[in-house]
Amino acid sequence: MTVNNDAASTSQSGELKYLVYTSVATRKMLPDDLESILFTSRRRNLDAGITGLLLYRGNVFIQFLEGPALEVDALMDRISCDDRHSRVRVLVVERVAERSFGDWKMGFAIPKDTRPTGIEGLRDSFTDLTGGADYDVVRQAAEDFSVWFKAGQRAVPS
Amino acid sequence: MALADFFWHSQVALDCCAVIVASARFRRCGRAINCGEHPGRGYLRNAGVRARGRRVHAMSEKVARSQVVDEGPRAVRWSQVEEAFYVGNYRGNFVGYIDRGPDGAFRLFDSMSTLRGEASTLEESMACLDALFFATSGDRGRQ
Repeated sequence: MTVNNDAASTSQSGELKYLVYTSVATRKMLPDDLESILFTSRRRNLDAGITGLLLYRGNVFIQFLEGPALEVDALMDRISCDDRHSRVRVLVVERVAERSFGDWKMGFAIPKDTRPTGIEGLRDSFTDLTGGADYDVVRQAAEDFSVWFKAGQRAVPS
Repeated sequence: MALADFFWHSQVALDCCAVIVASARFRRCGRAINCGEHPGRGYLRNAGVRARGRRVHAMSEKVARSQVVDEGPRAVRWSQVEEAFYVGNYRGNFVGYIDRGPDGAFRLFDSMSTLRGEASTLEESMACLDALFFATSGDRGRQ
């Protein structure tokens, strides 16, 4: 799954916006709901040159978006008005030179809940991302999920 | 990084990797070993992680939650992303990740996401990847 040529050229020009937000689903998302969201977003994102990743854990969405700034901003405006989302919080906004999810119009995964390990000091990426920690901690937690998603993709037999 | 320091970390990494290989061999025989039972520098490194862990335990819960596993100057921050998946980073540099398989073994992937072996415990896994990272990190380890 690759992005279109416009998106690729945007990537090369170095004018990409990388944004991570969380939101709380206003109702329990059923598989059909998630499929509908993904179907719509993948079709729109292809045209807009947006790539990224959507995670759903519990009733919380975590979405990574990357693409032309205007397109990302327009998408965020739509998400903010979408009645399936509440408490939309933009956590990370950066200008980046290249895509992290260039192979994905919109990846999707459902992380399992974390479990206590008994190891003192071991952090919880979900808590760090959603718990109002400072920017560096939130950014690192977002990166943790990105690593997790990509590791999972590598593990899938081709 | 001083030359002696580099060699020490290299030796720790080699010790840990040797233990991982040995552990895999023992696992096939139905036995399990870990760094903590292995004499030498690998043992000391792992013991250090546990000792520092106890110091963290003495702090308040709120403070402890914000600590990294290794409190030393080369503190690697380990996080659980989901059940059975852990990511390490050192001051923004990717250290590696640990993925626990259905068989219970912890599979270790380095900063290039290359599988480096298996370990029988999470603590052992983190200590081995920490050592491997600093043995190969060059300038990153000087910070």
